Amino acid sequence: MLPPSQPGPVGARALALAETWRPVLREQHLLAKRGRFALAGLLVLALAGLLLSLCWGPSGFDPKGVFQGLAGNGTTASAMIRAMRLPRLAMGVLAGLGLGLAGCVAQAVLKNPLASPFTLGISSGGGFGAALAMILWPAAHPATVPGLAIFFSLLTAAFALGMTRLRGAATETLVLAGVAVMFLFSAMTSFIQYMAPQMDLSRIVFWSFGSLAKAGWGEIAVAACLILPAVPWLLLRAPDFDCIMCGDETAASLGINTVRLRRASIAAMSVITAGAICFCGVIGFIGLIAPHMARLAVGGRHRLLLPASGLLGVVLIILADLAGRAIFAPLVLPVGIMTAFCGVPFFFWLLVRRCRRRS
Amino acid sequence: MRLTASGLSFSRDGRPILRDVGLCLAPGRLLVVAGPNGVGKTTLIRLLLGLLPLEAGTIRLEDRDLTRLSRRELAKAVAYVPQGGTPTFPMTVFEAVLLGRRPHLSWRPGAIDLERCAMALCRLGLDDLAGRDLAALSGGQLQKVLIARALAQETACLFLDEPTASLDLRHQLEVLEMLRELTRQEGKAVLASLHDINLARRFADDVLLLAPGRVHGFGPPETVLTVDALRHVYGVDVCCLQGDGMTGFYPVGPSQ
Repeated sequence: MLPPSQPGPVGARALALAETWRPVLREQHLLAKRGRFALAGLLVLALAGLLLSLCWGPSGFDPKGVFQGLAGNGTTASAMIRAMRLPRLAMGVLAGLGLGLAGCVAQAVLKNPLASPFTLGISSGGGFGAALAMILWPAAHPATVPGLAIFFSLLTAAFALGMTRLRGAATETLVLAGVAVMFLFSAMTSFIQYMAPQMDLSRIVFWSFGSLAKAGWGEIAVAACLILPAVPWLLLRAPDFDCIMCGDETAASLGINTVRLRRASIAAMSVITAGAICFCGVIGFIGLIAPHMARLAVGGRHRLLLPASGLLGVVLIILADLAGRAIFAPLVLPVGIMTAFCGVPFFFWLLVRRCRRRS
Repeated sequence: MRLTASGLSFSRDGRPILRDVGLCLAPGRLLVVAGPNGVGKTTLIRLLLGLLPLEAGTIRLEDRDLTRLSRRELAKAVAYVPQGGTPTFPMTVFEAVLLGRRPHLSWRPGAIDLERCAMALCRLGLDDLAGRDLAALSGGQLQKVLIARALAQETACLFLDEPTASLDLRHQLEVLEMLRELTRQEGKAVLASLHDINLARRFADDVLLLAPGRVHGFGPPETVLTVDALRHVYGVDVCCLQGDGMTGFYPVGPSQ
């Protein structure tokens, strides 16, 4: 089975080899093209979702009306679109993008398909911070809730980063510690809920459902500052995530400083997650399934996978928000609940399809 | 590129594993590291790759101190084939081999990178498997994929950790033929740890025989791998078999 070991003039052998490797290259070009098409498709899907989300509502608009409204023609419709639907949408885009990317990075650097931004306990930390703010200072400035949520998310992240400093701490240790921290914060949040007076309790519970309705432009600016700066860095490091997924030794022998990459990625992912959840509440699940769906769509290479995962996050959150507004209209269901309702069946369908294809 | 190491020591939890190990790996030569389980073969390879901190000793790549090279520079000089193991996430054979181009490529793999990968795949007879998922491969195929990745990395040195561990007779021979060919035709310096004394004897240019805590011998296989040495190092009596111009060892039983 060793073609090159046959004796013969070198030139002839190279030619014979070229005959065999050209088809391989052609196949790869085709695959790469298919991946790019899938990514472009996702982009179109996301844009269509955005438009649909702007049009849909108690007072419906056609796309033309929406564009006129966005341009600002001084009518009430325009005011409504710019003051209500647009911020809601912007928040959704930011949160979906952030959670999708963060989930993808978490799965790569923790080498775990179950990992998500929530695995390290970051979101539970945020939820606890928010609950604490609502019970301690119910009447304080509205910024205290997201403020404390961000603070506790980052505190949890700092703990996870500290864990990476332990010598011999494998990625499983990180995940286990993260899950433990998650349960600790959930218990503390439950404790607060148990002790809270009725009024605060409903506020806390409602916060934890996750909602895009709380966003104003100020909040969006803060979320953008937390989410967007890390995005270019993550995209730039895409080839390194391919390597670290295959194990630290392999990655190191391919020229990657695995310790530094893992630390920086956890830090980036934590800040992104904090930005996504501090104003929207705990929108779970997107960070877990968006990367898996993206993997099925564009393959496992992070150069395509990362943007695809971010875009799918956006698509999922917009669709979930749309469904939440549409199903029991005029009642609006929280987006956190709807992401699971809409996402799980679709995700199962994908999983079953993949199993069938494998067998 | 010539790699020289001297006085290497390493201990784990206060227990010395390697003491005063030295070796020299020249271009165009195949060096086999042999020794009983737990004697530190993998540890030695990790030290030489800069994956573990040196306690004492020096490793030089030509005239440069290996421990001062950046990971990227090192990855351009030395490729590593770890013991098998598939990644957590699905990955095709071609993608796995393309990782070998990481030290050379910027963000996007260029035409040259793709071409080198395709060539490496064909060289190992893997061209039909390029689109296959790694998890669907046999042990022998997976080992060849990892070697193809190391070839695509285009380094002067190649380290392999027990490349024949899970392979059948034929694949063992194929892999070692391949390694010898790489040293002869491309002048690569290859270091492999092996358990099979007979393969070591047949294919190696030099053998480093490790005994617990010391180097038992370093040199050409016929002087290092002797009946006496095997008894001392492995605690096994062997008899020497000769035929077809080759020498082999047959284990008789544990020595008294």
